[in-house]
Amino acid sequence: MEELKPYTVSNSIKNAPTVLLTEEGKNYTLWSPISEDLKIIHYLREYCFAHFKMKTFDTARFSFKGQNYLCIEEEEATIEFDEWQVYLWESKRKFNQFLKPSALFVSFLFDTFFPLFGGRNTVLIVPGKKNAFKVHPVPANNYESFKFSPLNFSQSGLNIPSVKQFFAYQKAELEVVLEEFLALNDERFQINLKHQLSLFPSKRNAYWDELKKCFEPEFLKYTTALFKDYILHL
Amino acid sequence: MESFYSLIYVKPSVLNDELLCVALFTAGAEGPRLYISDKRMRLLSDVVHRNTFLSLRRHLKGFQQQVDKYRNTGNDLLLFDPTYSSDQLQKLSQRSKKAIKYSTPTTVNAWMDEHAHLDLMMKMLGDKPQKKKQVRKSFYHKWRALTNANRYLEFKRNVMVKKVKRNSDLDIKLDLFSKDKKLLIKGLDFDTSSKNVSDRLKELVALSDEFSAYNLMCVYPKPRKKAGRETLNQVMSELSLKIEFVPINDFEAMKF
Repeated sequence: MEELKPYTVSNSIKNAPTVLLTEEGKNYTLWSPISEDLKIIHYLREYCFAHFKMKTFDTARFSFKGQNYLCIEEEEATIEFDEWQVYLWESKRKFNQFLKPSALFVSFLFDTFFPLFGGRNTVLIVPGKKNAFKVHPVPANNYESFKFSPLNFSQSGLNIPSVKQFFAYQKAELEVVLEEFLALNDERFQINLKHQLSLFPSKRNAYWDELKKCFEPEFLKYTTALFKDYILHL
Repeated sequence: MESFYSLIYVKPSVLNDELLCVALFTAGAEGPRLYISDKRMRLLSDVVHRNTFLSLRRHLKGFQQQVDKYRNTGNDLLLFDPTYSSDQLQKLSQRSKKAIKYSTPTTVNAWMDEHAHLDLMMKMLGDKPQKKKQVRKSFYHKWRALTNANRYLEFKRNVMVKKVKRNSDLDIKLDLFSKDKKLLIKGLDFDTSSKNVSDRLKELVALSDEFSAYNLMCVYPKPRKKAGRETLNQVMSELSLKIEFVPINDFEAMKF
């Protein structure tokens, strides 16, 4: 994580999270103090995001009075993806205003294949000439726990009609996306993750016990079948 | 159903606490209405990046279209469990966290019709919807569309005189031409400038001389200006032997 040397730290009149402005003109929100667990979970997530080519916001470290804080990059006018925003994709013409819409599906895949972070991760719509998707770097449970608890499609929101409508436009593409994801989620990746965890000797066993459940053949087979069925019925 | 309003804010910058109120959402027994203030959107477009602005506007306009569609289709009874109820907006206001924020709904003690909506709009945003000026399409647009319609398929359309009559040296376009029916048709709008009208009349005269065996028809819209009416009356008395003047309504009713 990069160490931040902020230019200013804004003083919010409301109780909003404090925002830091760096010398390069980037904005960061002060999130929370960095604990040992947060460090490991965050590191793992960053590693996975890079591996599955998921776009996310930059994170950085800011030390203040001997305490390290996690900072998350803020981009202007981002909006949380929500199923009630169906007006953004109610027709094919409107749907085409999304840049790389399959990124949303990959985020759903990651949530379902690695249900370690307590639920559905927040996805943000980043403005631009075309709206793009970025995953929020903070997990749904805000680094509280690291526990394997499978998500079904109702919990992750895949079964909501408007989300289904979104994916129905790219039905043909999704099978390829799923295959690519599964190709990346291989034994080599498992070994690499294990190696990454070994960098934190004090907690590696506890974390690995949870993480290895994601690579159990039964779980993989069942989840893959679920997704294949989902794509078929779009 | 309970009448309420909710304000929609946009957060233009991450660094400051500023929220710009850009739209007003009202709902009641007569259905939901959303108004986006043009003036405030113009202000927003000045302070944020162009692409950011376009994206935010895409969101708001999309929402507005959805609301309008919901109100105008009127498939279900609005009084029972409507999509845009106070409870739903309450949920929405808690859900919206980032750039676009929906305020918690506030109850209005009034029958929320269009009039009340306009009244609130004026009070909340200090802005009212601009009436769009209706641009009158020129006769020639309408005429071109009409002559290109399928009902005149038997005619040659938009042809130069040279294409039809080889030894002619006239450089004039014919709107409709039929050799079998011995018919020539051209459109003319008497409300355009006097120069334009006289040029086109000269063309018509030249055409009537060139195609003496043909029936020449001039289609015109009813002139609205005094000058146009006078020219038409004068021309009709002078040229009625050579050219047949037909109002566009009569022409549309004609069958060939």
